[in-house]
Amino acid sequence: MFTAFAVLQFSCVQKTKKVIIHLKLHVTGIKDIKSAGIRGDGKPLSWDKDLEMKPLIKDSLYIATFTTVTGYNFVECKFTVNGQTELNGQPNRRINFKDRNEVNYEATFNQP
Amino acid sequence: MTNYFKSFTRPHVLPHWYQDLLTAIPRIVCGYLLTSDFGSSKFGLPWSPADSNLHLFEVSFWFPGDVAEYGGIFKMFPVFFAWMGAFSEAVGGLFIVFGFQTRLFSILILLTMLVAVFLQQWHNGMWSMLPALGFAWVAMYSSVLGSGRFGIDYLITRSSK
Repeated sequence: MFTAFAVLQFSCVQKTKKVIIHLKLHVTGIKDIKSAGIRGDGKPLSWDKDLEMKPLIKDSLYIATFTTVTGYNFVECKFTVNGQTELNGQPNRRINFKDRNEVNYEATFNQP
Repeated sequence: MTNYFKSFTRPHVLPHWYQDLLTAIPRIVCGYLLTSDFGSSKFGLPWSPADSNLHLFEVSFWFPGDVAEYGGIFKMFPVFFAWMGAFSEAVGGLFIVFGFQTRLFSILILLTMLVAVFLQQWHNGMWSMLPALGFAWVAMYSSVLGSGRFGIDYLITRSSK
């Protein structure tokens, strides 16, 4: 019985991998940006709170890098500027990383 | 043992066929939703979404962590309970679509949904509880009635008494 429990405890859970994601966000048409960030599924992302992005060029280019541990081949997310989430009413962005442990993703705010 | 198995499998048949049909429709719809979406998104089946990267009969990596947060015995055996809950939804949903071992899988689904209602969704309010409550009501009457006329249980037990 305990052996069955032990086998179940270790063999039937989806394997996870560590993925490093580098993000670049281009912003056009918005002046005096106070904050830029990303929200999404799976730690360290959240749909309730921004993961902060740093300005490389103020009001133009923002970057962030984060590491996630996941069993999926993708992460879903949206960017925010001044607390406003992009692509309102549209599908989330999907960053795919099948067979990769590190990925670069570049996007323009509010453009799918 | 065989008699017990047969009596557990044999459905109650209602007086008119349309009564069995009306009880079968919610069972089939709920089973389909469970196996095609709710269950297969966190339990590996051939029709699980390809991007979810789930192998056959694997439970999603995040689910045992969620189950452990319920505390008590769930914290002691999170993988077991996560696997059983996901199995009940994904495989149990398929079985109740076809009305095969309807009582057994209805009981498993009912227990899973009661956990979902009281330990997962209770603090999120009534609207969040509704999906699990809906599945629970259907599983509750199906665990009493079995498949009725519209299921494999009826076909395999109708010739025996």
